[in-house]
Amino acid sequence: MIKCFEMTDLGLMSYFLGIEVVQQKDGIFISQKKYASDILKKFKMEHSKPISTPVEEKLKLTRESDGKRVDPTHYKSLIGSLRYLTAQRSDIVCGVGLLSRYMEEPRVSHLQGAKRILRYIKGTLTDGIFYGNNSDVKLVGYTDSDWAGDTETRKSTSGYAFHLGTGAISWSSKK
Amino acid sequence: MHQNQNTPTEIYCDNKSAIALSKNPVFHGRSKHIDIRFHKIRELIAEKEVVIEYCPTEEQIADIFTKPLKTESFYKLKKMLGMMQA
Repeated sequence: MIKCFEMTDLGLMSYFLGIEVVQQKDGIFISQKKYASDILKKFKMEHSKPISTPVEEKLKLTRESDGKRVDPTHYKSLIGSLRYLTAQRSDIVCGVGLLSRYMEEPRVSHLQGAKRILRYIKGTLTDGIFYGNNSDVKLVGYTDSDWAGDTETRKSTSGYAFHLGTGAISWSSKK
Repeated sequence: MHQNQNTPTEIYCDNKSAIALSKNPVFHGRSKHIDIRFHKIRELIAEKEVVIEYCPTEEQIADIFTKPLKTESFYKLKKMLGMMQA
């Protein structure tokens, strides 16, 4: 192929579209450390205090909250950046999905929720998914629904994850 | 990926009645308004392409995608997703 077309062989893939790939003997590890720290810098959260979970348990956000409005452009760009991070960080999918429902008129409470995710990211920058290369590779799926968890629209959020071997290869969280 | 799959794909679900409905194609008044997509699942089960299995809530990995969780269960499920530190 190199003879036919002008191209260079860069060897094993190590960085692609913000995703870092480490190819080891026993498997492949993917993470988005660089992209995650870039987001923290962009939203000036690089010196924030880390927190253990991305979303507060039993967090109730509403559309018509009395709080002050925040700049929708800033909020949208923050959610958008977090959304790209979910390409590999499946642990924040739910939180980002929850917050992206308030893109139209974001309030202070919503922005605080988004900042909490950033604090969680700060504590877990290096986390990634490991895909081991053992021979027992099996496709397994998990599905769940929260039974009309949104009290405003009475709609359910459903989620699924498909595992191939040790790591999840496909997931979704959708209202 | 150059690998064939001989066994049906297992899908775990923590809703027993949904599993029962998917296996037993009895028409029921209360299940009348169910989407066409759902019938696809029944078809796949009949063709032995997938198997729906029950899984208790504690081991339901998809929980992490549908609701905010407590710290302990969050970390447990996160580990089960294959996520770890570099």
